[in-house]
Amino acid sequence: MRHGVLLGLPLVFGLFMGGFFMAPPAVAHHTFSVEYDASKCSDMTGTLTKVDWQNPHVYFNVDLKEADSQVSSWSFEAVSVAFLKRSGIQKQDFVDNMGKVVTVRACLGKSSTGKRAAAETIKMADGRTLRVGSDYEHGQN
Amino acid sequence: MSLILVLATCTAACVSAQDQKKSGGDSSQPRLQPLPKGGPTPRTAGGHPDLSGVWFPGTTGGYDTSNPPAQRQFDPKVTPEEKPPFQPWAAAKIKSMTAVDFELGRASVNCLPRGTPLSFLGNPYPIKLVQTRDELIQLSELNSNFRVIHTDGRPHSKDPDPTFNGDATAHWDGDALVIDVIAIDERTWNNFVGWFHSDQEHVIERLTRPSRNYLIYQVTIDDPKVLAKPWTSAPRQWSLSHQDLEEYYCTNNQEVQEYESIKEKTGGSGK
Repeated sequence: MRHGVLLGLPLVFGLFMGGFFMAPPAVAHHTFSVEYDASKCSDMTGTLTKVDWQNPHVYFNVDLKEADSQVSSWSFEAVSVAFLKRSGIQKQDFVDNMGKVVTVRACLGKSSTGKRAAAETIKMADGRTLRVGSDYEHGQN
Repeated sequence: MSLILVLATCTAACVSAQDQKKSGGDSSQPRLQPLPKGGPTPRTAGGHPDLSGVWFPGTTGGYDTSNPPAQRQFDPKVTPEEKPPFQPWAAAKIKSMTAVDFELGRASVNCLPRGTPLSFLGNPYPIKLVQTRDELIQLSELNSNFRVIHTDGRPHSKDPDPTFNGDATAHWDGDALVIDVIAIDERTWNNFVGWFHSDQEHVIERLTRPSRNYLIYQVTIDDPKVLAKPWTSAPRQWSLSHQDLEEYYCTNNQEVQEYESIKEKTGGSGK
């Protein structure tokens, strides 16, 4: 590992390196588990219809076919504009796939508004998978 | 190859590797790695540490959506941090809050500034510090917020009105910049689980830069109406980046209505 070349640096500094920390409270915009259910995550496939590229969260809409064959518009919450851009994701990535079939890995919302989920990843029509949220179902938020 | 040359190579390579990250959002992209120390503390002509730079919370000088824990500022096993020593009435008030109350009380959910000291203690977004001879200018990406701190040791303003950042004045104590803050708007919290404060809150922040790539933030909070005694944070690490700040205005907040709906549905527990 890279930090193997750092032999001889002060020990206290070395203790800060080479791994991520445990648990101080999350500093996220809000607490995931109060608004969304990490035990209800699944892949949802439908047609991408809209992207709202704003803060505090980017939202995008996908038309999903329900169990009764009716089509509903679902709203998916991604992280902020800055976090997406720093991950190399641009608004154009959504624009280029508007009207195309996408698959979103997302966790259901708890509010009464329904048809709302927190997105972890979105697989675009060209096969690329973009990480647009944390790995909520495995405890990252 | 000598150890010094290897370290120098690693320093340049480590920083440039983070800067050249072009993931395209690929979820298989490697996570960011902790930065090396990066060399000695940069100093101003006057001999003080130069705190200028773009700083990310944690050790990687960046943010990785697939690795939020890398943004953590300290390891409680290495530098334990006490829980806030609330007076009994304050502890009881916080205990009576539900999970949804915690969310609806958060500055971020309401698109309000996190203020002092939560803009350092609880903030995943970068901060740019610009140090001049007499000022430290803090530009926070979150909410495109700014704070200008005079570093000449002047007294506080007389009867300052409360503001989210508070009334701040600073002086150098050796290599530490000590920032004394009063008059902080009572809508700010000091954590995300109900730590409210009074109009008597007095915050003392310390900023140091032990090496090129790291900034250490530590804060002492004294609030004789809410706390039984002053509380001091663990030393919190921030790491250097070469990225520009992004604009961030809260223009599409849907959280309040969502949490109000959840409160109605669950009675506040969020379960």
